Amino acid sequence: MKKFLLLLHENIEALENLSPKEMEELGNAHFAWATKLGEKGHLISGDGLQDSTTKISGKDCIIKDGPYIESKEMIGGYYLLQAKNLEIVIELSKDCPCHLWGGTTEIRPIADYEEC
Amino acid sequence: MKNAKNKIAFKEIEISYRKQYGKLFSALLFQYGSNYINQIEDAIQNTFYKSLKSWKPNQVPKNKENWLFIVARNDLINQIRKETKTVATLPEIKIGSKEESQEDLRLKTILLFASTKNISTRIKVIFVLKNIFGLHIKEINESTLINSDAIYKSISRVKKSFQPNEFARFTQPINIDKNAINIVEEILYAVFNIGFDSFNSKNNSIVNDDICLEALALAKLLFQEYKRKSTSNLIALFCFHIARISSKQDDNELVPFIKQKDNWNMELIKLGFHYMKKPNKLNRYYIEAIITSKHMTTEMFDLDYWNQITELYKLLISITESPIVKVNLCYCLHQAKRTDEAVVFLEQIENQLPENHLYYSLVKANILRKEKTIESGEIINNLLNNVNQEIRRKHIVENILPNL
Repeated sequence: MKKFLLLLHENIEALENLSPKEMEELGNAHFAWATKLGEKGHLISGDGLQDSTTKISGKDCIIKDGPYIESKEMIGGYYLLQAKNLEIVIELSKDCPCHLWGGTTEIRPIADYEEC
Repeated sequence: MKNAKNKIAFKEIEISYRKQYGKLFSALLFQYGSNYINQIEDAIQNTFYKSLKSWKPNQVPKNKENWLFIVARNDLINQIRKETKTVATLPEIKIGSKEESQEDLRLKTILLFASTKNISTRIKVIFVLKNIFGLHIKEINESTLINSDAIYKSISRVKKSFQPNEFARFTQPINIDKNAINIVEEILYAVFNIGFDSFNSKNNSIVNDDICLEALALAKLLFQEYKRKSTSNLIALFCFHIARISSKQDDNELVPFIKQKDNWNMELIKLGFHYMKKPNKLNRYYIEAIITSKHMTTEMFDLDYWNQITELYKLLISITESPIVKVNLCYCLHQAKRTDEAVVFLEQIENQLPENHLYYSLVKANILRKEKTIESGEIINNLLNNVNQEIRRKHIVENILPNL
Protein backbone atom coordinates (compact mmCIF):
# COMPACT_ATOMS: atom_id res chain seq x y z
CA MET A 1 0.00 0.00 0.00
CA LYS A 2 1.43 3.40 -1.00
CA LYS A 3 0.88 6.66 0.79
CA PHE A 4 -0.08 9.94 -0.82
CA LEU A 5 -0.37 13.47 0.50
CA LEU A 6 -3.33 15.31 -0.96
CA LEU A 7 -2.76 19.04 -0.66
CA LEU A 8 -5.78 21.32 -0.84
CA HIS A 9 -4.95 24.59 -2.57
CA GLU A 10 -7.96 26.61 -1.57
CA ASN A 11 -9.34 29.76 -3.11
CA ILE A 12 -9.17 31.84 0.05
CA GLU A 13 -11.28 34.70 -1.23
CA ALA A 14 -14.10 32.38 -2.26
CA LEU A 15 -14.04 30.52 1.06
CA GLU A 16 -13.99 33.64 3.20
CA ASN A 17 -17.04 34.95 1.38
CA LEU A 18 -19.19 31.86 1.70
CA SER A 19 -22.56 32.35 3.32
CA PRO A 20 -23.22 30.48 6.59
CA LYS A 21 -25.32 27.95 4.70
CA GLU A 22 -22.61 27.38 2.11
CA MET A 23 -20.02 27.05 4.87
CA GLU A 24 -22.19 24.44 6.61
CA GLU A 25 -22.68 22.54 3.35
CA LEU A 26 -18.95 22.59 2.60
CA GLY A 27 -18.19 21.30 6.11
CA ASN A 28 -20.73 18.50 5.64
CA ALA A 29 -19.25 17.67 2.23
CA HIS A 30 -15.78 17.26 3.78
CA PHE A 31 -17.25 15.16 6.59
CA ALA A 32 -19.02 12.90 4.12
CA TRP A 33 -15.97 12.57 1.86
CA ALA A 34 -13.57 11.86 4.73
CA THR A 35 -15.99 9.30 6.14
CA LYS A 36 -16.24 7.55 2.78
CA LEU A 37 -12.44 7.46 2.49
CA GLY A 38 -12.21 6.12 6.04
CA GLU A 39 -14.74 3.38 5.36
CA LYS A 40 -12.79 2.23 2.32
CA GLY A 41 -9.54 2.24 4.27
CA HIS A 42 -7.94 5.07 2.27
CA LEU A 43 -7.81 7.75 4.96
CA ILE A 44 -4.83 7.89 7.29
CA SER A 45 -5.34 11.44 8.54
CA GLY A 46 -6.35 14.92 7.49
CA ASP A 47 -6.48 18.43 8.86
CA GLY A 48 -7.40 21.95 7.98
CA LEU A 49 -4.61 24.50 8.20
CA GLN A 50 -4.74 28.02 9.56
CA ASP A 51 -4.13 30.88 7.15
CA SER A 52 -1.11 32.12 9.10
CA THR A 53 2.25 30.87 7.92
CA THR A 54 5.88 31.30 8.88
CA LYS A 55 8.74 30.74 6.45
CA ILE A 56 12.30 30.22 7.63
CA SER A 57 14.95 30.44 4.94
CA GLY A 58 18.68 30.17 4.53
CA LYS A 59 21.46 29.34 6.81
CA ASP A 60 20.78 32.57 8.71
CA CYS A 61 17.21 31.39 9.34
CA ILE A 62 15.44 34.50 8.05
CA ILE A 63 11.92 34.37 9.35
CA LYS A 64 9.03 35.74 7.32
CA ASP A 65 5.46 35.63 8.55
CA GLY A 66 2.44 35.30 6.25
CA PRO A 67 -0.19 34.93 4.92
CA TYR A 68 0.95 36.46 1.65
CA ILE A 69 -1.96 38.40 0.33
CA GLU A 70 -0.69 38.44 -3.24
CA SER A 71 -1.58 34.77 -3.68
CA LYS A 72 -5.21 33.88 -4.22
CA GLU A 73 -4.61 30.24 -3.44
CA MET A 74 -3.19 28.82 -0.28
CA ILE A 75 -2.70 25.32 1.06
CA GLY A 76 -5.69 25.21 3.36
CA GLY A 77 -5.58 21.58 4.37
CA TYR A 78 -4.34 18.12 3.57
CA TYR A 79 -5.41 14.50 3.57
CA LEU A 80 -2.90 11.69 4.01
CA LEU A 81 -4.23 8.79 1.96
CA GLN A 82 -3.23 5.26 1.18
CA ALA A 83 -4.00 3.19 -1.89
CA LYS A 84 -2.48 0.60 -4.18
CA ASN A 85 -1.58 3.14 -6.82
CA LEU A 86 -1.79 6.76 -7.95
CA GLU A 87 -4.70 6.10 -10.33
CA ILE A 88 -6.95 5.14 -7.43
CA VAL A 89 -6.02 8.29 -5.54
CA ILE A 90 -6.67 10.43 -8.62
CA GLU A 91 -10.16 8.94 -8.94
CA LEU A 92 -10.87 9.45 -5.24
CA SER A 93 -9.55 13.01 -5.27
CA LYS A 94 -11.85 14.10 -8.08
CA ASP A 95 -14.64 14.13 -5.49
CA CYS A 96 -12.70 16.20 -2.96
CA PRO A 97 -14.96 19.09 -1.78
CA CYS A 98 -11.98 21.44 -2.20
CA HIS A 99 -12.99 21.70 -5.87
CA LEU A 100 -16.48 23.01 -5.07
CA TRP A 101 -15.34 26.59 -4.51
CA GLY A 102 -12.52 27.08 -6.99
CA GLY A 103 -9.83 25.12 -5.18
CA THR A 104 -7.20 22.82 -6.67
CA THR A 105 -5.93 19.55 -5.26
CA GLU A 106 -2.39 18.28 -5.65
CA ILE A 107 -1.34 14.69 -5.07
CA ARG A 108 2.19 14.09 -3.81
CA PRO A 109 3.22 10.45 -3.43
CA ILE A 110 5.17 9.90 -0.22
CA ALA A 111 8.71 8.90 -1.18
CA ASP A 112 9.20 5.21 -0.61
CA TYR A 113 12.09 4.02 -2.76
CA GLU A 114 12.11 0.54 -1.31
CA GLU A 115 9.10 -0.24 -3.47
CA CYS A 116 10.83 0.85 -6.71
CA MET B 1 -7.43 -2.89 2.16
CA LYS B 2 -9.95 -2.15 4.90
CA ASN B 3 -8.48 -0.56 7.91
CA ALA B 4 -10.81 -0.74 10.87
CA LYS B 5 -8.85 1.90 12.75
CA ASN B 6 -9.67 4.44 10.09
CA LYS B 7 -13.35 3.67 10.03
CA ILE B 8 -15.34 6.74 11.00
CA ALA B 9 -19.09 6.85 11.27
CA PHE B 10 -20.42 9.68 9.11
CA LYS B 11 -22.07 12.31 11.14
CA GLU B 12 -23.12 15.66 9.77
CA ILE B 13 -22.20 18.87 11.51
CA GLU B 14 -25.84 18.79 12.66
CA ILE B 15 -26.08 22.41 13.46
CA SER B 16 -27.74 25.07 11.35
CA TYR B 17 -25.20 27.81 10.66
CA ARG B 18 -27.98 30.15 9.59
CA LYS B 19 -29.70 29.74 12.94
CA GLN B 20 -26.40 30.02 14.77
CA TYR B 21 -25.57 33.22 12.90
CA GLY B 22 -28.65 34.90 14.36
CA LYS B 23 -28.01 33.56 17.84
CA LEU B 24 -24.37 34.62 17.83
CA PHE B 25 -25.14 38.01 16.33
CA SER B 26 -27.82 38.74 18.94
CA ALA B 27 -25.76 37.49 21.86
CA LEU B 28 -22.69 39.52 20.87
CA LEU B 29 -24.73 42.59 20.00
CA PHE B 30 -26.30 42.58 23.46
CA GLN B 31 -22.92 42.13 25.10
CA TYR B 32 -20.86 44.60 23.13
CA GLY B 33 -23.39 47.01 21.60
CA SER B 34 -23.97 48.48 18.18
CA ASN B 35 -20.59 50.25 18.13
CA TYR B 36 -19.06 46.93 17.11
CA ILE B 37 -21.67 45.69 14.69
CA ASN B 38 -19.22 45.32 11.75
CA GLN B 39 -16.71 43.54 13.94
CA ILE B 40 -19.42 41.19 15.20
CA GLU B 41 -20.31 40.27 11.62
CA ASP B 42 -16.65 39.60 10.83
CA ALA B 43 -16.18 37.60 14.03
CA ILE B 44 -19.07 35.28 13.16
CA GLN B 45 -17.82 34.79 9.60
CA ASN B 46 -14.31 34.04 10.93
CA THR B 47 -15.77 31.59 13.43
CA PHE B 48 -17.60 29.55 10.81
CA TYR B 49 -14.42 29.53 8.73
CA LYS B 50 -12.45 28.27 11.74
CA SER B 51 -15.00 25.52 12.35
CA LEU B 52 -14.62 24.47 8.73
CA LYS B 53 -10.89 24.15 9.26
CA SER B 54 -10.86 22.41 12.60
CA TRP B 55 -13.95 20.21 12.90
CA LYS B 56 -13.47 16.66 11.68
CA PRO B 57 -15.83 13.66 11.71
CA ASN B 58 -14.21 12.22 14.81
CA GLN B 59 -13.31 15.55 16.38
CA VAL B 60 -16.38 17.73 16.70
CA PRO B 61 -16.82 19.71 19.92
CA LYS B 62 -19.39 18.17 22.25
CA ASN B 63 -21.16 21.47 22.65
CA LYS B 64 -20.92 23.02 19.20
CA GLU B 65 -22.98 26.09 20.09
CA ASN B 66 -20.75 26.86 23.00
CA TRP B 67 -17.62 26.38 20.86
CA LEU B 68 -18.97 28.74 18.21
CA PHE B 69 -19.92 31.33 20.81
CA ILE B 70 -16.55 31.29 22.57
CA VAL B 71 -14.56 31.41 19.33
CA ALA B 72 -16.71 34.26 18.01
CA ARG B 73 -16.42 36.19 21.23
CA ASN B 74 -12.64 35.75 21.35
CA ASP B 75 -12.36 36.82 17.72
CA LEU B 76 -14.41 39.92 18.49
CA ILE B 77 -12.33 40.69 21.58
CA ASN B 78 -9.16 40.43 19.51
CA GLN B 79 -10.54 42.80 16.92
CA ILE B 80 -11.55 45.31 19.59
CA ARG B 81 -8.15 45.00 21.24
CA LYS B 82 -6.36 45.74 18.00
CA GLU B 83 -8.56 48.75 17.29
CA THR B 84 -8.70 50.27 20.74
CA LYS B 85 -5.44 48.91 22.12
CA THR B 86 -7.18 47.83 25.31
CA VAL B 87 -5.72 44.70 26.77
CA ALA B 88 -6.74 44.13 30.33
CA THR B 89 -10.46 44.81 30.25
CA LEU B 90 -11.48 42.16 27.75
CA PRO B 91 -10.33 38.70 28.82
CA GLU B 92 -10.48 35.84 26.36
CA ILE B 93 -12.35 32.68 27.30
CA LYS B 94 -10.79 29.26 26.95
CA ILE B 95 -12.50 26.93 24.51
CA GLY B 96 -14.19 24.20 26.47
CA SER B 97 -15.00 26.43 29.40
CA LYS B 98 -18.63 26.65 30.40
CA GLU B 99 -20.35 29.68 28.96
CA GLU B 100 -22.62 31.57 31.29
CA SER B 101 -25.39 32.39 28.87
CA GLN B 102 -26.87 30.45 25.99
CA GLU B 103 -30.04 32.52 25.97
CA ASP B 104 -31.62 32.91 22.55
CA LEU B 105 -31.82 36.67 22.08
CA ARG B 106 -32.94 36.68 18.45
CA LEU B 107 -36.53 37.69 19.18
CA LYS B 108 -35.41 40.45 21.50
CA THR B 109 -33.08 41.73 18.80
CA ILE B 110 -35.82 41.73 16.18
CA LEU B 111 -38.14 43.56 18.60
CA LEU B 112 -35.52 46.24 19.07
CA PHE B 113 -34.88 46.53 15.32
CA ALA B 114 -38.64 46.82 14.87
CA SER B 115 -38.73 49.70 17.34
CA THR B 116 -36.07 51.65 15.41
CA LYS B 117 -37.60 54.87 14.07
CA ASN B 118 -37.32 56.29 10.56
CA ILE B 119 -36.47 52.96 8.92
CA SER B 120 -38.98 51.29 6.61
CA THR B 121 -40.20 47.77 7.32
CA ARG B 122 -38.68 46.65 3.99
CA ILE B 123 -35.24 47.72 5.14
CA LYS B 124 -35.77 46.08 8.52
CA VAL B 125 -36.67 42.83 6.75
CA ILE B 126 -33.40 42.96 4.80
CA PHE B 127 -31.43 43.58 7.98
CA VAL B 128 -33.16 40.73 9.81
CA LEU B 129 -32.61 38.39 6.84
CA LYS B 130 -28.91 39.11 6.99
CA ASN B 131 -28.23 39.25 10.68
CA ILE B 132 -30.86 37.03 12.28
CA PHE B 133 -31.46 34.49 9.53
CA GLY B 134 -27.82 34.41 8.35
CA LEU B 135 -28.39 35.08 4.66
CA HIS B 136 -25.60 36.64 2.63
CA ILE B 137 -26.19 39.63 0.37
CA LYS B 138 -26.15 37.38 -2.71
CA GLU B 139 -28.77 35.10 -1.12
CA ILE B 140 -30.98 38.04 -0.18
CA ASN B 141 -30.62 39.28 -3.74
CA GLU B 142 -31.70 35.89 -5.11
CA SER B 143 -34.56 35.59 -2.65
CA THR B 144 -35.98 39.08 -2.93
CA LEU B 145 -34.87 40.23 -6.41
CA ILE B 146 -33.64 43.45 -4.77
CA ASN B 147 -30.28 44.32 -6.32
CA SER B 148 -27.14 43.88 -4.26
CA ASP B 149 -26.25 47.60 -4.15
CA ALA B 150 -29.64 48.45 -2.72
CA ILE B 151 -29.23 45.71 -0.12
CA TYR B 152 -25.80 47.03 0.93
CA LYS B 153 -27.23 50.56 1.19
CA SER B 154 -30.19 49.37 3.26
CA ILE B 155 -27.96 47.52 5.72
CA SER B 156 -25.62 50.45 6.03
CA ARG B 157 -28.60 52.75 6.69
CA VAL B 158 -29.85 50.55 9.52
CA LYS B 159 -26.40 50.49 11.09
CA LYS B 160 -26.11 54.27 10.95
CA SER B 161 -29.53 54.63 12.55
CA PHE B 162 -28.42 52.95 15.78
CA GLN B 163 -27.41 55.16 18.63
CA PRO B 164 -23.85 54.73 19.93
CA ASN B 165 -23.69 51.71 22.17
CA GLU B 166 -27.33 50.84 21.53
CA PHE B 167 -28.32 47.28 22.53
CA ALA B 168 -25.55 46.93 25.12
CA ARG B 169 -28.17 47.17 27.79
CA PHE B 170 -29.55 43.69 28.08
CA THR B 171 -29.83 43.89 31.82
CA GLN B 172 -32.36 46.71 31.58
CA PRO B 173 -36.03 45.99 30.87
CA ILE B 174 -37.08 46.87 27.34
CA ASN B 175 -40.41 48.52 26.67
CA ILE B 176 -41.91 47.25 23.46
CA ASP B 177 -44.97 49.01 22.06
CA LYS B 178 -47.83 47.41 20.14
CA ASN B 179 -46.62 48.81 16.86
CA ALA B 180 -43.23 47.13 17.25
CA ILE B 181 -44.97 43.76 17.65
CA ASN B 182 -46.98 44.45 14.49
CA ILE B 183 -43.73 45.14 12.67
CA VAL B 184 -42.11 41.97 14.03
CA GLU B 185 -45.10 40.01 12.68
CA GLU B 186 -44.69 41.73 9.33
CA ILE B 187 -40.96 40.95 9.31
CA LEU B 188 -41.52 37.28 10.14
CA TYR B 189 -44.27 37.06 7.53
CA ALA B 190 -41.98 38.57 4.87
CA VAL B 191 -39.05 36.38 5.88
CA PHE B 192 -41.25 33.27 5.79
CA ASN B 193 -42.49 34.10 2.29
CA ILE B 194 -38.93 34.63 1.10
CA GLY B 195 -38.01 31.21 2.50
CA PHE B 196 -41.09 29.61 0.98
CA ASP B 197 -40.04 30.54 -2.56
CA SER B 198 -36.35 30.07 -3.12
CA PHE B 199 -34.88 31.13 -6.44
CA ASN B 200 -31.31 30.17 -5.69
CA SER B 201 -29.79 29.08 -9.00
CA LYS B 202 -27.09 27.02 -7.29
CA ASN B 203 -29.42 24.51 -5.76
CA ASN B 204 -32.51 22.86 -7.04
CA SER B 205 -34.61 23.40 -3.97
CA ILE B 206 -37.57 25.71 -4.37
CA VAL B 207 -37.97 26.18 -0.60
CA ASN B 208 -35.52 27.32 2.05
CA ASP B 209 -37.22 25.25 4.69
CA ASP B 210 -34.77 26.24 7.44
CA ILE B 211 -35.83 29.88 7.05
CA CYS B 212 -39.52 28.93 7.21
CA LEU B 213 -39.00 26.78 10.30
CA GLU B 214 -37.03 29.47 12.11
CA ALA B 215 -39.67 32.08 11.23
CA LEU B 216 -42.23 29.72 12.79
CA ALA B 217 -40.05 29.18 15.87
CA LEU B 218 -39.66 32.93 16.38
CA ALA B 219 -43.38 33.53 15.83
CA LYS B 220 -44.06 30.97 18.56
CA LEU B 221 -41.70 32.79 20.91
CA LEU B 222 -43.45 36.05 20.09
CA PHE B 223 -46.81 34.47 20.85
CA GLN B 224 -45.59 33.03 24.15
CA GLU B 225 -44.36 36.46 25.14
CA TYR B 226 -47.30 38.67 24.07
CA LYS B 227 -50.24 36.27 23.48
CA ARG B 228 -51.67 38.23 20.57
CA LYS B 229 -54.35 36.76 18.30
CA SER B 230 -52.62 38.18 15.24
CA THR B 231 -49.44 36.27 16.11
CA SER B 232 -51.49 33.13 16.68
CA ASN B 233 -53.03 33.50 13.22
CA LEU B 234 -49.59 34.09 11.74
CA ILE B 235 -48.47 30.78 13.30
CA ALA B 236 -51.57 29.09 11.87
CA LEU B 237 -50.70 30.39 8.40
CA PHE B 238 -47.09 29.19 8.74
CA CYS B 239 -48.27 25.74 9.88
CA PHE B 240 -50.55 25.32 6.85
CA HIS B 241 -47.76 26.30 4.48
CA ILE B 242 -45.06 24.23 6.17
CA ALA B 243 -47.42 21.22 6.08
CA ARG B 244 -46.97 21.08 2.33
CA ILE B 245 -43.28 21.97 1.96
CA SER B 246 -42.10 18.40 1.50
CA SER B 247 -44.80 17.75 -1.11
CA LYS B 248 -43.98 20.74 -3.32
CA GLN B 249 -41.07 18.99 -4.94
CA ASP B 250 -40.43 15.41 -5.98
CA ASP B 251 -36.72 14.91 -6.72
CA ASN B 252 -36.06 17.42 -9.48
CA GLU B 253 -39.64 18.21 -10.38
CA LEU B 254 -42.19 20.69 -9.11
CA VAL B 255 -45.43 19.03 -8.02
CA PRO B 256 -48.63 20.93 -8.90
CA PHE B 257 -50.74 21.86 -5.85
CA ILE B 258 -53.53 19.48 -6.79
CA LYS B 259 -51.16 16.48 -6.73
CA GLN B 260 -49.47 17.33 -3.44
CA LYS B 261 -52.28 16.32 -1.10
CA ASP B 262 -51.18 12.77 -0.23
CA ASN B 263 -47.90 14.03 1.18
CA TRP B 264 -49.15 16.83 3.38
CA ASN B 265 -48.25 16.77 7.05
CA MET B 266 -51.62 16.31 8.75
CA GLU B 267 -50.25 17.06 12.22
CA LEU B 268 -49.18 20.51 11.08
CA ILE B 269 -52.54 21.11 9.44
CA LYS B 270 -54.22 20.25 12.76
CA LEU B 271 -51.82 22.59 14.53
CA GLY B 272 -52.74 25.29 12.03
CA PHE B 273 -56.42 24.98 12.96
CA HIS B 274 -55.47 25.01 16.63
CA TYR B 275 -53.74 28.38 16.27
CA MET B 276 -56.47 30.02 14.16
CA LYS B 277 -58.23 32.58 16.35
CA LYS B 278 -61.07 34.81 15.24
CA PRO B 279 -59.75 38.35 15.66
CA ASN B 280 -61.72 41.33 16.97
CA LYS B 281 -61.05 43.25 13.77
CA LEU B 282 -60.04 42.19 10.27
CA ASN B 283 -56.60 40.72 10.26
CA ARG B 284 -54.43 39.80 7.27
CA TYR B 285 -52.95 36.64 8.73
CA TYR B 286 -56.36 35.34 9.81
CA ILE B 287 -57.84 35.80 6.34
CA GLU B 288 -54.80 34.24 4.68
CA ALA B 289 -54.96 31.33 7.11
CA ILE B 290 -58.64 30.81 6.22
CA ILE B 291 -57.85 30.89 2.50
CA THR B 292 -54.95 28.46 2.86
CA SER B 293 -56.92 26.10 5.08
CA LYS B 294 -59.78 26.10 2.57
CA HIS B 295 -57.33 25.30 -0.25
CA MET B 296 -56.06 22.38 1.77
CA THR B 297 -59.40 20.94 2.82
CA THR B 298 -61.84 21.58 -0.02
CA GLU B 299 -63.17 18.58 -1.93
CA MET B 300 -64.01 20.54 -5.06
CA PHE B 301 -62.33 23.40 -6.86
CA ASP B 302 -65.57 24.45 -8.57
CA LEU B 303 -66.99 27.88 -9.41
CA ASP B 304 -68.66 28.23 -6.00
CA TYR B 305 -65.34 27.54 -4.33
CA TRP B 306 -63.42 30.11 -6.41
CA ASN B 307 -66.15 32.72 -5.85
CA GLN B 308 -65.85 32.21 -2.08
CA ILE B 309 -62.09 32.58 -2.22
CA THR B 310 -62.44 35.65 -4.43
CA GLU B 311 -64.54 37.33 -1.71
CA LEU B 312 -61.87 36.53 0.88
CA TYR B 313 -59.17 38.07 -1.32
CA LYS B 314 -61.33 41.16 -1.78
CA LEU B 315 -61.50 41.43 2.02
CA LEU B 316 -57.72 41.14 2.12
CA ILE B 317 -57.32 43.89 -0.45
CA SER B 318 -59.36 46.17 1.80
CA ILE B 319 -56.67 45.92 4.48
CA THR B 320 -53.42 45.44 2.56
CA GLU B 321 -51.82 47.01 -0.48
CA SER B 322 -49.73 43.98 -1.39
CA PRO B 323 -49.60 43.49 -5.17
CA ILE B 324 -49.15 39.75 -4.60
CA VAL B 325 -52.58 39.60 -2.97
CA LYS B 326 -53.96 41.23 -6.11
CA VAL B 327 -52.19 38.66 -8.29
CA ASN B 328 -53.83 35.94 -6.21
CA LEU B 329 -57.19 37.66 -6.64
CA CYS B 330 -56.64 37.78 -10.42
CA TYR B 331 -55.97 34.06 -10.43
CA CYS B 332 -59.12 33.33 -8.41
CA LEU B 333 -61.28 35.61 -10.59
CA HIS B 334 -59.99 33.82 -13.67
CA GLN B 335 -60.76 30.43 -12.10
CA ALA B 336 -64.23 31.73 -11.27
CA LYS B 337 -64.69 32.59 -14.98
CA ARG B 338 -64.62 36.32 -14.19
CA THR B 339 -61.69 37.05 -16.48
CA ASP B 340 -62.77 40.63 -17.35
CA GLU B 341 -62.51 41.60 -13.67
CA ALA B 342 -59.17 39.82 -13.43
CA VAL B 343 -57.76 41.84 -16.35
CA VAL B 344 -58.70 45.11 -14.59
CA PHE B 345 -56.69 44.12 -11.50
CA LEU B 346 -53.81 42.88 -13.65
CA GLU B 347 -53.47 46.33 -15.22
CA GLN B 348 -53.49 47.97 -11.78
CA ILE B 349 -50.49 46.01 -10.56
CA GLU B 350 -48.43 45.86 -13.75
CA ASN B 351 -45.94 48.47 -12.54
CA GLN B 352 -45.92 47.48 -8.88
CA LEU B 353 -43.86 44.32 -9.37
CA PRO B 354 -40.39 43.79 -10.84
CA GLU B 355 -40.20 43.04 -14.56
CA ASN B 356 -40.70 39.36 -15.37
CA HIS B 357 -41.98 38.63 -11.88
CA LEU B 358 -42.44 34.87 -11.96
CA TYR B 359 -45.85 34.50 -10.35
CA TYR B 360 -47.36 37.60 -11.97
CA SER B 361 -46.13 36.51 -15.40
CA LEU B 362 -47.54 33.00 -15.01
CA VAL B 363 -50.95 34.30 -13.91
CA LYS B 364 -51.04 36.92 -16.67
CA ALA B 365 -50.03 34.39 -19.34
CA ASN B 366 -52.74 32.04 -18.12
CA ILE B 367 -55.43 34.74 -18.12
CA LEU B 368 -54.49 35.97 -21.62
CA ARG B 369 -54.13 32.45 -22.97
CA LYS B 370 -57.38 32.33 -24.97
CA GLU B 371 -57.93 35.96 -25.98
CA LYS B 372 -54.33 37.01 -26.63
CA THR B 373 -52.43 33.84 -27.38
CA ILE B 374 -49.38 35.53 -28.93
CA GLU B 375 -48.92 37.93 -26.02
CA SER B 376 -49.35 35.05 -23.60
CA GLY B 377 -46.61 33.08 -25.38
CA GLU B 378 -44.28 36.10 -25.35
CA ILE B 379 -44.70 36.48 -21.59
CA ILE B 380 -43.67 32.88 -21.04
CA ASN B 381 -40.73 33.17 -23.42
CA ASN B 382 -39.50 36.30 -21.59
CA LEU B 383 -39.90 34.44 -18.35
CA LEU B 384 -37.86 31.51 -19.62
CA ASN B 385 -35.07 33.90 -20.55
CA ASN B 386 -34.99 35.21 -17.01
CA VAL B 387 -35.66 32.20 -14.80
CA ASN B 388 -32.29 31.07 -13.53
CA GLN B 389 -33.41 28.00 -11.62
CA GLU B 390 -33.43 24.84 -13.70
CA ILE B 391 -36.25 23.13 -11.81
CA ARG B 392 -38.63 26.06 -12.43
CA ARG B 393 -37.59 26.36 -16.06
CA LYS B 394 -38.26 22.65 -16.56
CA HIS B 395 -41.69 22.99 -14.97
CA ILE B 396 -42.63 25.88 -17.25
CA VAL B 397 -41.37 24.11 -20.38
CA GLU B 398 -43.01 20.78 -19.59
CA ASN B 399 -46.24 21.80 -17.88
CA ILE B 400 -47.15 25.36 -18.77
CA LEU B 401 -45.87 25.97 -22.29
CA PRO B 402 -47.74 23.02 -23.86
CA ASN B 403 -51.05 24.33 -22.46
CA LEU B 404 -50.76 27.81 -23.97
